[in-house]
Amino acid sequence: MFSMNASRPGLRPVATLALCAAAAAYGLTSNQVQALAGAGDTLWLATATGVDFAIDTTDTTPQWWSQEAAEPWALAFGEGRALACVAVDNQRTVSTSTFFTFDHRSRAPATVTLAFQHPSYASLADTLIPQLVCYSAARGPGAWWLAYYEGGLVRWDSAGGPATAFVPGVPRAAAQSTAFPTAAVRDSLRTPRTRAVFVAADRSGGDTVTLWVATPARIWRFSPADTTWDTLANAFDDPGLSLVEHIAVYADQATRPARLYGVSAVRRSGRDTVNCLFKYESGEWVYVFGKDAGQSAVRGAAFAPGGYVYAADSTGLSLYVDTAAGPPVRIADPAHFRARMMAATQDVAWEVMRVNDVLATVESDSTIQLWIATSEGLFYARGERPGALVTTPFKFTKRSPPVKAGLAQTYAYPGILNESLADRRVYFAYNLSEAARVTIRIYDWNMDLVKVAVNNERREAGKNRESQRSSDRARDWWDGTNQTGRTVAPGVYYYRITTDKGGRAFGKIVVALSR
Amino acid sequence: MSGAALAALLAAPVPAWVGGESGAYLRAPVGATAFAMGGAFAAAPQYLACWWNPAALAAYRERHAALGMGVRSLGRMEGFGGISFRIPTRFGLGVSMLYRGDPFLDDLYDENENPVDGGSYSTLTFKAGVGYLINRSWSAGIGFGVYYQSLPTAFTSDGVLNSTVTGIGGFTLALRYQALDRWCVALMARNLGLTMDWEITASEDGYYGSRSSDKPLPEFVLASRFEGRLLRHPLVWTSDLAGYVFDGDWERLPHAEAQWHNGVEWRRWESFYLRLGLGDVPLSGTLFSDASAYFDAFSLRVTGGFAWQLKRISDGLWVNYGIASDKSGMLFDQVLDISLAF
Repeated sequence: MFSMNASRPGLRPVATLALCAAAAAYGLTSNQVQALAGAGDTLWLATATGVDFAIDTTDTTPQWWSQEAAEPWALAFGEGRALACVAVDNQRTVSTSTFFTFDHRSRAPATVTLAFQHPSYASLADTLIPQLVCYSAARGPGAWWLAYYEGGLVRWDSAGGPATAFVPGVPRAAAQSTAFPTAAVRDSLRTPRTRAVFVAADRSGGDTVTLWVATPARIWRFSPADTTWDTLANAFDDPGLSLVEHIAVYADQATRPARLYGVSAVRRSGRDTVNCLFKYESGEWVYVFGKDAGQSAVRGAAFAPGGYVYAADSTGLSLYVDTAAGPPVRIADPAHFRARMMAATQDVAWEVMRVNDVLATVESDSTIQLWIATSEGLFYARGERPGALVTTPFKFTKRSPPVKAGLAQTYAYPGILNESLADRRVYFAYNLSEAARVTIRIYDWNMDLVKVAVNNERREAGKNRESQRSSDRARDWWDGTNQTGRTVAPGVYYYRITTDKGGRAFGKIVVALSR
Repeated sequence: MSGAALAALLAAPVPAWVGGESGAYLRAPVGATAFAMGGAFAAAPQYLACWWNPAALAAYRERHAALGMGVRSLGRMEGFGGISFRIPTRFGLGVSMLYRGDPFLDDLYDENENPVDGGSYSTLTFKAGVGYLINRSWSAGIGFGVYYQSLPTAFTSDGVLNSTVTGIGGFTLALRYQALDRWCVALMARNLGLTMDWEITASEDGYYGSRSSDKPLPEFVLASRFEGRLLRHPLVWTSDLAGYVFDGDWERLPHAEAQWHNGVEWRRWESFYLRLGLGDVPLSGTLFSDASAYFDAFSLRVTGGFAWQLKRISDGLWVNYGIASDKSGMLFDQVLDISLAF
């Protein structure tokens, strides 16, 4: 059955984890910050290797909790509670999703496991089950709404009531009237028309909640009260665009009624597919961001009171104002944000950084806290007034354990270079007592020279750098290739770091890349 | 080596490094004698002949056995052994085993710069060979191997997760010519037809994985052994020229390379020999086209060692020791073995 565990309906709390709690500066579980959620003075973020939760972000010493977890998927925050899907385990007849939750008020962390039993699936192809992944989550009154790819929309009552599955486009009554999953419902879940990929809650109507659900072929409006599904038109203001698939949907709750935005992959006639941000208005999708030259796939959007829209693609951020009918107007371009972000750090090169998400939270004085998740760490600014373009300096935080000076503690991370890494690079961490020219050479097991990764480049003493280390993440790396550009064979490799001041250090790297 | 391949070798426009290509752990010399003589041992290997030159298996009347180990810089280790014997009147057989690896991968850090409990890299290679004595001057041989590797490929909550691979093949074709009583030469092609197809697990949950086809570089070797005299005592000069022109798929390497190994053994005393060598001297056209780049990348092994006969136990029992600089130029490798001719 596609439902909660039949013998123990509802969510089963499986453990309460001991968390790393600290009253200190932000202590990210990883520099690869992938998603953001939050409101007011709370921040909730997912990194490549964990979830982090901060309260009192306006303070210089935020309360910070961290939980390492395997690549979190969905992330949501609302009503003082946070939730992240931290593990998915798809077996042949049972699929489980483990969620990490955090209660803002009681400061109680917990994990809960959502179990889907599929006794009738035992005879089906295995390919069906692994698609049960929760990609997105939203908070409604008293319940979480979870978008499961090939699993529909699931309502989990956070008070402990039963969880319920809904299929986009299928009235609840119809779903209930048959044993789940019937062949018809199962097939409908496997079609692009009904796969849920993103859910956004819209509470701008007061106590009632409206859910916007993105499936590859449709954006749906779902009313939980009467379990009705309406679909929006796929028309675009630009007739040269045709839909490939919808990816995400956002409801700007700072406006009444909430404005609706969507991220969709569209094909331009005779050209490549691009991911763009659109605003839904008068029965059509109005282009906002994403198809201009130099822009890449849209990674996220954030909204601030007054109709301000922050749109992020992997290469940067733009600010729009959406005050009247028609397309939003850009008031700050990527160069504006790039300059501010780069002013916040000496350690990160813009060329290697990718923006993953953006979040705007409203402070008590109606100014904006702007959070930008990147592949290299977290940027943030307080006191933003986007309408007046009043800006404050960005700050930057990343995870960088201190390295002892004098090459005494030198290492490469990650020590295993494999295909799970987004950038397929190993970075070197070292610290010099004084400025020097550095050379890093890579050798194979036979100590044949593989590559000169860094050739006689000047590095400052760590004490003179913001990160308190001399190594430069933008330049001190190796991508697992040899001098001729070929990916090296799987094996152990050895690096030698030398300086023109006589220092030297050795270490090891395992390479397990495909070739 | 064909004329075209030789031309490609000499025309290589940049420093011609084979570093990082498949089979790095197979390129280092096996045995303390070979090690002490700069890796030049293929023309007339007194022991471990099935590894070095299966054509030599038929050339010796005695049986040979050897056992040894090596401690290399940065925690690299090795152990090896082998036995060979003649089957009258024209055949010789030999088998050998080699372990190489790094059992001390104890300074790995994960993506978040946290230290991780160490793992180990292990390889095992079994080789067998047969030699045939064609006539008094010529002999031929063929060998093949079974190859195994185990490598940490993913971090887990407890440490690391290993992936393994096995391959069969790696044929050696050898031809040996005894030109004079004191001079012999050999021609060999090694590592032919060997594929190790890795199924790499890259994450604890198995979500990330990849395949990697590991095909050690075919190696072409021209070897010589000449016995002369120095200060009225025998002096053996060995020289191996190893060329790498193709990758494991027989596609031409972007930059071909040759390495020249040379060693001498001075038999100053009846029961104690001194050995010296220069190994892995890179040769490529870069020397002429861009000498500064050539010397920037230049590295070699300076080797030395000795052989000590344990005559009180057996006339054929020798202890061999070799020491060499590693190619980083800062550290040392050592190999010790015992060989027995009986």
